Amino acid sequence: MDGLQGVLRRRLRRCLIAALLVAAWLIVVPAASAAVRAYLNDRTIPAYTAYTDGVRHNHYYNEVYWSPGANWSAGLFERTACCGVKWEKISVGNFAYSHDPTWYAEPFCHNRSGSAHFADHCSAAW
Amino acid sequence: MTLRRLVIALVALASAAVAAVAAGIGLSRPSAPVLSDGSIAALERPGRSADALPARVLELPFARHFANPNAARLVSRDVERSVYVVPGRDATVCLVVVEAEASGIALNCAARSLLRSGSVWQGTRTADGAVDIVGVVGDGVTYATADGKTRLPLRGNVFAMSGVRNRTIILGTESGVEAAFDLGDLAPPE
Repeated sequence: MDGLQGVLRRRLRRCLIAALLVAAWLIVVPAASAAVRAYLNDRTIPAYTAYTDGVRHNHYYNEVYWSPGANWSAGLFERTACCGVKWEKISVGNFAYSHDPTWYAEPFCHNRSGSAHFADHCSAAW
Repeated sequence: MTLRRLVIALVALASAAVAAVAAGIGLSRPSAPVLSDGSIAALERPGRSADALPARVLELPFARHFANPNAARLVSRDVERSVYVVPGRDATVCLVVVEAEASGIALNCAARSLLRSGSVWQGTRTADGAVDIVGVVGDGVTYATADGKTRLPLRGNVFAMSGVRNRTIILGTESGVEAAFDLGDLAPPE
């Protein structure tokens, strides 16, 4: 009987460990799967022009980085297939906006000035 | 004098004449009125516990552009948002707006030299197509106005305006110096 109880105890322990591992995986993986991509690199954006690579996600972050000390008008927004432009923000200089990941949308970085400007990168996270 | 030297002298003389005429008829770029030396008193005051940037701001990738997050100062707080000013890297100043709605955090950094005749600002498009603007200004700026409306008195290096439709904002000092800065193209994206 002791042998059978020992086997059952060992199996129960293994089941508990497996359950703990699954629970830990469920907790950790959604956070670890958050991803960032640069959707524009080293490119000049013409005056009054917004750029996207057209990739949609439930983004929570959008950023445009022109260069150190940039001082012209910039913008960030996202566009959904269903419901138009969301999360539209404007500013001067290098700029980022973080928000709830509510919309399945493509991110845009926007040169709102009257001159073309070189952008180091535009990046988005989801 | 060789022919080559004669041509160079003529070209130099012609350039000088063109520059003089351009200056005379006002073609040269006028310098913008100086509102401030770019100093920000809010950044010089002793820190308080309320000045600490929320952890979720510091976790964002953009926080790498802050020169010293511990030097951040809270310059405005109401039910809609908290506004912080932070010294930025590369001679910039950064503005951080933590919104009550949608966990929004907007961060920008721009050349601090902008404060001499303007502002480091950011804004949000509203449902009716106008924009709400918040900005940091240098010491000495005492009012702001937009769309030809009444002057908005300023305190503490920050201004906030709602429902702006004209892309030009005017800032002014007590001594009567005024300077305008441009918000850029305000047409909504298509």
